[in-house]
Amino acid sequence: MVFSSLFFLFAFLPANLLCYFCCKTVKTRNIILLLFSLVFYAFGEPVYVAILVLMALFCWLFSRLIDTSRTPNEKKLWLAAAVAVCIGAIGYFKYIGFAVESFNALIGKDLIPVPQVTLPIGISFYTFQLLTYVIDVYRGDVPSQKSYWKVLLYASLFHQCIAGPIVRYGDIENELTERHENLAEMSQGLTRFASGLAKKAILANGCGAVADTLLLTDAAIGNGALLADNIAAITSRSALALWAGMAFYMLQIYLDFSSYSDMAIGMGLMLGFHYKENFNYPYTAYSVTDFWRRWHMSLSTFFRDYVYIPLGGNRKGKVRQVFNLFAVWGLTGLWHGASWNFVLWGLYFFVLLILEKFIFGKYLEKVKPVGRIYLLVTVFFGWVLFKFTDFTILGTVLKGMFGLNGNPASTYEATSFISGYVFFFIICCVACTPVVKTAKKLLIKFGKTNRPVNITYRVLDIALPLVLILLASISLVGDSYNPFLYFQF
Amino acid sequence: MKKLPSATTHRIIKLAVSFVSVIIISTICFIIPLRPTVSETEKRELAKFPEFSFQALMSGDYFSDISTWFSDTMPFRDSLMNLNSKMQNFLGTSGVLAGFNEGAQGDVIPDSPTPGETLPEGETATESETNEPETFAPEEITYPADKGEAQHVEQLSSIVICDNAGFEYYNFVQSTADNYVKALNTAGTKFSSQANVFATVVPTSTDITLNEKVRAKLSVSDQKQAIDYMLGSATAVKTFNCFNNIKQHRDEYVYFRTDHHWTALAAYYAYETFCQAKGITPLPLSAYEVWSFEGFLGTFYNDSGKDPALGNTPDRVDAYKPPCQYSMTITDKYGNTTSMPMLYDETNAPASYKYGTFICGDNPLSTITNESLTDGEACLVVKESFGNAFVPFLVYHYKTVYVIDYRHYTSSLSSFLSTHTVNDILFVNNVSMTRNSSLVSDLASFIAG
Repeated sequence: MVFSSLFFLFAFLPANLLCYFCCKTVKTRNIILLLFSLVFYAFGEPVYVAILVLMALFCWLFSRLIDTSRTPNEKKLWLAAAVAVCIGAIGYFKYIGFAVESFNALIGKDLIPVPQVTLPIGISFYTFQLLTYVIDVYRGDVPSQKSYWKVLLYASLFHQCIAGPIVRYGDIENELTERHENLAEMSQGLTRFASGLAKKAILANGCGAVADTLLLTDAAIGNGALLADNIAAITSRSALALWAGMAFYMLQIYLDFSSYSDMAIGMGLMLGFHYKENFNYPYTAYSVTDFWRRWHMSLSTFFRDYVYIPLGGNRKGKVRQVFNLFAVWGLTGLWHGASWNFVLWGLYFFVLLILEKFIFGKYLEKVKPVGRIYLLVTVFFGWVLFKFTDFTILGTVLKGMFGLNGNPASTYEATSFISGYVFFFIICCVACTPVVKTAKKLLIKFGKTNRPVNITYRVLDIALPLVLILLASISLVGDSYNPFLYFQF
Repeated sequence: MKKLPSATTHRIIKLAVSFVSVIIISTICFIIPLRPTVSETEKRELAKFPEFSFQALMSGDYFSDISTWFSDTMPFRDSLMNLNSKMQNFLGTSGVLAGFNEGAQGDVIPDSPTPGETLPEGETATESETNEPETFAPEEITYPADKGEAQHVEQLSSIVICDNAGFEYYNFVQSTADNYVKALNTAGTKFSSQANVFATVVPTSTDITLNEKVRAKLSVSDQKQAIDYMLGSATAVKTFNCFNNIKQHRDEYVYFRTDHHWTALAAYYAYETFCQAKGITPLPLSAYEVWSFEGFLGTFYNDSGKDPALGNTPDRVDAYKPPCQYSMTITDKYGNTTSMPMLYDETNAPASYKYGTFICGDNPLSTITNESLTDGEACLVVKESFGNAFVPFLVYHYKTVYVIDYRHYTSSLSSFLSTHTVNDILFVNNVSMTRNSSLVSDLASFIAG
């Protein structure tokens, strides 16, 4: 199930909230949440829900064993076991096919048949959550959780189980046992959820449709059998269509991803959970370094705290620091998908970060407008690497962007198609900046002294969440709509 | 001045407004009788609540089908989708994107016809001599000029909207066109001993009514050239090329603006060319009684995500009643026959159905009898939906007009002819069909089978 579906909005979520608020104690509320979370997960993966349950069980067990161990070595042993389970699961389900393919490619023959493993939804998120839990217990940062059910609830909570943010156990440890909703946060959470929903259903989906039309759908890119067709399609595209398509993809990926975090954070707030922010207007960053402080923050801090710093960070000399960064960014790339283009994407940022750290980062900080343009351009090409999992298509796209496929710079079709989306493009760009947030702050500020402004703010505050939910729902009706061929009726 | 509500009251109001509304909507969602089962605008059955099976449960299909059912059969879905289109139009986004035509210019159309398949010896001579490829004679034809400049052009993937009319892309595909020609030639060779075999290819509005300046900019193939090539290559059949006659009337109401079909008026001009080829005199247009249905919003309207420019100016469907008594029976795919009017009253039909007035839409086999004639010839029209508007003009000239929609008819042409005697066979296909390999192969197997 996804948040941006009518079934979630008008069946699952209302049912969940009603049941939740009918219960009075945290214990019964947790039971409700756990049941709903398991149903939510099972909706997409009726079988793989078992993996989630088992992984939580192992991590709970090992964390208890770490806590009761007497010697450091014993603790280390249980930690190693937990890490092995987590990495083993994600390694098998996410990377085994990729590893075998790469191995076969390396030795030049199909020595080992490629295993066909379906990726369980959300495994990259919940295993990382469980890892933070066990490691934090090992480090003594948090006590181990006595109740297995709470560990399972932590890992499976439907707010963030499937698409993040990667919530640290320590951040919600207390709230698993003791939490109180309050009106202020519920109201805040509602607004947050509604704006996330609208951002996803109206803006991100719209951008996705345009990007798919101008470039290729992800389904087409992922289908090796269509390679020749894909190449032919891309080769004939004008440079303008490719640039515009990538620009819409760049908007889509941010709006889509951040809106999921918005909805998770909003739903959490309504119940008294406080998840950390995951995005902080990354496209307004002035350097790649700044960008990664603002983009998918729960993932970059995970790699910082659980890979970079344990490897020695910057405390063991420059050579070691460069290696540590290399490891972190190779892994960050790989986390995004089991394909070499994602590794390349991670390493692309590694190179840029190194260059910024040692050469020109200080200048970017001084001349921020230049830094912002530089950031947008570098991230743009990053997304080209990210989008095209097939290197042949990737190369064709990059060549085509500069007219090197014998393709025209522009065509009538491209200009007239794209000109229809200029207004939409501007709205989406605005949604990537803190403009709305600032406007809200100003309304509140001037509302304190000015009654009409105050009334305007209050009316908007009450009406907007509902309006956004309604608009998003309308745009989700007919999700199943398939344009029919003219001849089929 | 009245004091504004406290922060607490404000928050309670805010939460209540949203939650109560959502709960009300949820309740409506679960009033099952409110859930539609068919979509009028999309012309399809909506998703059904899935049947439970252990296998579907395990694969996850059961749950995802429930979710699909829930959103597909949302109460008031067609009205909501209408609203969605309005919103998308406001944002500039179109709800429907089927592909992007840039660069898909199609194959180069050969300058001269190819003889197509080499025909079995002895069978070629007579047929090809009777059928000179008239279309390739040098000709200087002038067509009526555009009525004015195009004000607004909007690109929508597979269609283009120019002012308040939609136009479909057409790209010539050499191999499919050749297969189409081959199918026609096979029909000519196989059945010319039994009947006269005629064929025409109907252009779409893009090369007829679209503003010439806009048309010149599009990456589409030249339909006249393509039709000339195909009909010129179909040497085993008698061709009647209606392109020029329709285009000479391009300033008349020959194509719908909100739908991809031609109007019955364009079909009349095609009928004139057919009469010329057959050597009979066409009835003048004034001999027909016109029956008009206002408020038609067809495929372009729906495919453009209900573009308001189209929606505000619906089409009118004119049906021409032949000056004779006639009746029609249709045979469905199970072989059941029903008596139906040849021209259906669409006055109160939904906006998107009105082209269905002509022979009650697409049926596997329709049989129209001219009751005013006691004796006379019979003909068979093999068509897809473009043929529907054409058929009524033939009724006056034949005792019986059989109409086969080869997409739905399950048997073959030769088995039909083994039980029915016809004097003429007419293939009426539209130019878009000739680049659609699956339809061309349907037609080919209908002919070859």
